[in-house]
Amino acid sequence: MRARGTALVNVALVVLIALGVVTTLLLASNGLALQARGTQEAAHVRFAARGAVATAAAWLDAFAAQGAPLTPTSSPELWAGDGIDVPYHLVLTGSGASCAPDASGLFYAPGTQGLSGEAWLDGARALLRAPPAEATEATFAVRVDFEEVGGTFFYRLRGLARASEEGVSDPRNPSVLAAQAGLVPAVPELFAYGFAGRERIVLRGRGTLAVADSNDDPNDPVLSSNGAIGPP
Amino acid sequence: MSFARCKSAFSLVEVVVSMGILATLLLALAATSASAVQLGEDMRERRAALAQAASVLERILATDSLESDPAYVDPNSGEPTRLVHDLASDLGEAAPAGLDGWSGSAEVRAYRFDALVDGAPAAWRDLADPKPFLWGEGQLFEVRVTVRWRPSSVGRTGGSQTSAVTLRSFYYPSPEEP
Repeated sequence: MRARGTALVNVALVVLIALGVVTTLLLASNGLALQARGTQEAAHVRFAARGAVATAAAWLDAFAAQGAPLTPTSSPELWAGDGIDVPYHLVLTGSGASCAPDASGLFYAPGTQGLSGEAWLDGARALLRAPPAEATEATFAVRVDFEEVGGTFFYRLRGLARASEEGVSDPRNPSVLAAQAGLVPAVPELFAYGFAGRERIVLRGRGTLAVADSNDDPNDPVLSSNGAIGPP
Repeated sequence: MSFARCKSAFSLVEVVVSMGILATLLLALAATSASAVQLGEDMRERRAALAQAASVLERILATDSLESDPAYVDPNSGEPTRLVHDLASDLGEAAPAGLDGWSGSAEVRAYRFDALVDGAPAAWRDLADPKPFLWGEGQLFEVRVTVRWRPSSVGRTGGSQTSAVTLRSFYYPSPEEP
């Protein structure tokens, strides 16, 4: 009887060892697949966040190129913070090439003290992890800090992007990309900034070309083509 | 041979059952091993494609001259346009080692700011949907790089399925200093 019992134990041992090897292989394969997917996801989010910073920088510079850069003075309704303890800041959200000041209220309340440091990231992550509504899907959030140095100002941008696949990437994702973009000097002369380096100005369509010599009264031009611009 | 030693031998049923269990486990082990090897090969191919896509995308983003490249302006309308570059013939890329059926493309799509339509800047619009009162030239570029290949697992079975990796970002050329 003792010999028969030993045989059963041997069989059980062999079965357990084989099961252990199979399980180990399965776990290793699963880990390998997750690792590759995580690498791909990290690259995706990194480039998406970088693109978000570029879009936000372009959006901000569009105002500056028109001679009306966004500042806490020019548009106080957009900015939070006090410029002392907490820098003036706003949050832009959007998708692809579109962005606008965030209206979700998750982490951004213009006119208030706002959030300092990294605290805003919790709200941004909540926004980017939430199941998006069809029409209002935000794939990125960019925090814009307004800072002044020596009479000029610049924006410091930090972008976060939505992960493409839930649960794959690091728990800290959507990842953070810190960047400084759009060094914007206070340029009162539109032509000196927006058209610097251009060789010519091309006008298309019909209309009137007018030139004003003052920002105070742009509707009172000193020169006007009086509707002469049009196809020959 | 004593009676006790005869009692200690395996019965035929025990041997057959044990061999059946072992055979099943060995088959599962072999299948899992083959699957792991195949998965490793698939992941290696995906990583190679991903590295190439990231490299090309980084290179385009670092070019910093898209806005002055005449190729991005339609010669007839003067409008910025969307171009698709072939990775091999246009950008000089070669297939990474071990990627069969490799091909790739880099799509650059121009956007510009629609500053006057609604009276205030609100969004960047796709140039495919032009409206009056557009302002400026192409100033924001979407870059999308795709690398495609035929997985080795599909190649062994004679299939035609392809895999692809796509990375996307935006490029904004820094405005010139006054």
